[in-house]
Amino acid sequence: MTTAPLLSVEQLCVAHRTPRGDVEVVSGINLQLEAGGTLAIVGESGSGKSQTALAIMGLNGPSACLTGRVLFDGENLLTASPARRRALRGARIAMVFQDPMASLNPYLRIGLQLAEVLETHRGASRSAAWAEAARTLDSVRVSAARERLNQYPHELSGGMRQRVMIAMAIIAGPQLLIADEPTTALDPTVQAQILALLDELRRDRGLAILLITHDLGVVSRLCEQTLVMYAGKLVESAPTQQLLSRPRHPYTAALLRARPSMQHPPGLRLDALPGQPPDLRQTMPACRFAPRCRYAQPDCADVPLQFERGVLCRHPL
Amino acid sequence: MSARLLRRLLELLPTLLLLVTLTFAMLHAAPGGPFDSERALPEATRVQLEARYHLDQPLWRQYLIYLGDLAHGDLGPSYQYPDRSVAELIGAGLPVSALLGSLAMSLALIVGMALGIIAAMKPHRWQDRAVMVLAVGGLSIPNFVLAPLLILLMAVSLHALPAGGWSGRPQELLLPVLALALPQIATIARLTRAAMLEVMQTPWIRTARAKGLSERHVVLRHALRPVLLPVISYLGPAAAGTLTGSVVIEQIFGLPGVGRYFVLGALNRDYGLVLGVVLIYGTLIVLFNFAVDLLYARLDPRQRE
Amino acid sequence: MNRVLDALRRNRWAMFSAGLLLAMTLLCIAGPWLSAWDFDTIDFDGSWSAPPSAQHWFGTDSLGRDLYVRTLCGGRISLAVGLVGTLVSLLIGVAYGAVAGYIGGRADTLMMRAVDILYALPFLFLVILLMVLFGRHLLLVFVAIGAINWLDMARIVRGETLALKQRDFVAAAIVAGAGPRAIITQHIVPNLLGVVVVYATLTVPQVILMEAFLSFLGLGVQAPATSWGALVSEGARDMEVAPAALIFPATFLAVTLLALNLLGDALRDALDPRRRA
Ligand SMILES: Nc1ncnc2c1ncn2[C@@H]1O[C@H](COP(=O)(O)OP(=O)(O)O)[C@@H](O)[C@H]1O
Ligand SMILES: [Mg+2]
Repeated sequence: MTTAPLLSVEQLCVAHRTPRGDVEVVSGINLQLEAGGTLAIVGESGSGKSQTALAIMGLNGPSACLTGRVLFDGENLLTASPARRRALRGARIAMVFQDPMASLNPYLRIGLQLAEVLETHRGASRSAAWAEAARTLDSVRVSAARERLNQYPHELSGGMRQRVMIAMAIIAGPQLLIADEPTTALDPTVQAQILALLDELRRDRGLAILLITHDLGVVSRLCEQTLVMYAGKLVESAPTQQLLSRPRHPYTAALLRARPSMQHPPGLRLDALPGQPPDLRQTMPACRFAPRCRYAQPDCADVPLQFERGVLCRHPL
Repeated sequence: MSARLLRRLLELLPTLLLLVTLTFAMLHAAPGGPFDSERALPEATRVQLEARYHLDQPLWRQYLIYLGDLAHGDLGPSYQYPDRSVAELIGAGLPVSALLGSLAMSLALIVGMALGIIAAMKPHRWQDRAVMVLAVGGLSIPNFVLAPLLILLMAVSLHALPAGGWSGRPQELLLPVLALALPQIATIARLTRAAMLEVMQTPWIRTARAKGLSERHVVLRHALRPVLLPVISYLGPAAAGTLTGSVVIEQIFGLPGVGRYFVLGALNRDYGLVLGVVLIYGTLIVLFNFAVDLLYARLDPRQRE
Repeated sequence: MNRVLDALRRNRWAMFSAGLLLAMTLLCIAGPWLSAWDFDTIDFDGSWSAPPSAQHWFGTDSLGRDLYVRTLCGGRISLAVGLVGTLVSLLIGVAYGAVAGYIGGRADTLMMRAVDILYALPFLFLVILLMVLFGRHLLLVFVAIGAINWLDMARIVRGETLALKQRDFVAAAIVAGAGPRAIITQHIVPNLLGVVVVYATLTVPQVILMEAFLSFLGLGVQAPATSWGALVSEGARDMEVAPAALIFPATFLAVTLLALNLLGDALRDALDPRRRA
């Protein structure tokens, strides 16, 4: 028996009105995430991962035009009122951003930035909110949590700041956490710690995690299921292990080849993907990846594609 | 904090010293010197002057004595009003000038910031356009042009407000404050708008929104403080501009402030009075800049310690 | 520079302002010849403080002098002060800023600290003191105003010079053995042109405003010569009987300042889109 998923995105499109005309940066994305589940979105930078995440949050900004459906717990967020969206944001759906230095307000104390989430969503008193803030910091293993509350972001290290961001995201007990490249700005050792923390939160709190990254190494440690995006489109969807061992879309395969790994023989050149992602303002071939694809066939450019059996490709590997 | 305070205080000294030295040097470089001016001075004043400037002493002694007198708040005699000291004259005008200046600055700060925020919240909409038109206009209409026009409209044509004079009634200050504040309102509105637009683009504002805070909360708690910073650093120049402007505004509206004495003194070549006002206003501006610096440091946690 | 001109051409307000300024300048230079009157001749046949008429296009002032001619002649002085004062501030500011930025290190710190200290001084008051002490010569007005406006220019030029110094072509010139003098005059200053033009455009209205302020107080241009500031001052004195004497010079002054501010803003936006306000 199948239960309704916690998050279900159907045919999501995001277009931005710009001075040089409209650009569609996300084109018909579908995804589903169960309560307590994990899902990764990978792709080169500029492929529309962040825009997809922001669309779920409703934060694409005033220039965006969204179509499709974003169902959270059965409720379509795209048609919900702004007040309703605010009530869900931070309380039931939370987000962690890439650069923890820039994403924390440099002018406000850590404690205030944590506590205001509870004051807004639970009407908690100031003292109760600050006490809870200290407990939450403690639970994400920030040392000397009480003293940290009175510090400013610039007084913390990068890893500490990202822990604070995570604490801020989970403080109101959300069911869904969207983490947009949470480790990209951090050192490798700190990266591992943050990933371990996310995994622990998923296990202990039943938090569903939507992880966005361009690093396939990060994915393999955390997520059961992985989606691959290219130029605003979904090109492959598969269980992570299967995707890593037997990629079916040539783009996924190229990403894997371009990845340095422990097993990689030293001295062997990494196989970087040549060329540039397409300009979304131009008209693109039916398969947007075809111009860069080493397996491209003559029919790739003009025969319309269907997303079938987990892959958007006429000639899957 | 106290060490920092001390250091900043010590940094004030060169500025003040430069101000005093410049005025002293100008006084002595003036053709013929101020003391044997073409105009016959009253005997008593001349004696006072000579005693004050110790003209028989070598220059460096004169300079030191000048410094010493200033340190005691002794600004010397006025040539125009021999029976009153410059300090007395300035003291008489200061309350009116202080009231005018502080009202104009407060108005400029409140209205300027409010307009700037409104414009930034609705970029490129009519609200924004209206504010920007007002701002460029305010920068282009000097207050000594605005003031007579306001008098022409409000006092001469509509008889709604007094055209000038001062008997202590609040409506007598309305037009002067408005005329004095307008250029500052314009500048502060532009500054605020630009800073606000920039801050609203920052990732941390996106984070605040991602937490589900209301737009009001985002603006007031998260955006306002960084927007305040450029406005606060403009307060120093704004104060200098307001003091300068008050000179003409007092003149136009017949307000008995320091600026009026200053202009009369300048037109009558009353060296003592002009020098006194320059020193007092100069010191005020320097001290004000100091206070602004301290405030700035308090608002930006990265600058503390 | 070409990029800036291109962006400017696309900005309607900038083009409009530039046109307006050109028209204003031509009018001030040539306009007085179109009238039969002279700027300080009294029309004894006409009345004093007369409203605009076919005889006197802008009316007459309280002494019966033609306001059209006086407004335009005043404009000549105001515009000239604006240009010359800006030029003076430009020369001082560019030289000071380029040297400080180029030398760098201690000397730079010291030179910029001096600028900070000067910033805190009430300059306009000192200029007035200068006028009181040395007499009210127009030349003094030019020099004094120019000499107090160079601080901003020095700061901006210094910042740009510091940035330019990091660039390859300057490094190449140093490697090729060029002396500091040659590098500053041949490599740094020409590349500063864009910034300097922008800030000069924004300095002109400030200088015009200062001159108008001084003349309004009776401390700037002295009779029989006149400027917009002096005319506004005279006009304000008897505006109740002859509002035209206030309104015409006031409008000319305000429109000129407006056009210069708009043009300066547009230039700055074109040069540096990040600072777009
Ligand atoms: N506000 C916007 N207006 C126009 N284009 C945008 C805007 N925000 C993002 N984009 C474009 O959308 C595309 C996808 O961006 P993004 O989702 O941030 O990529 P990713 O997170 O995968 O690196 C990029 O080409 C980017 O330039
Ligand atoms: Mg991204």
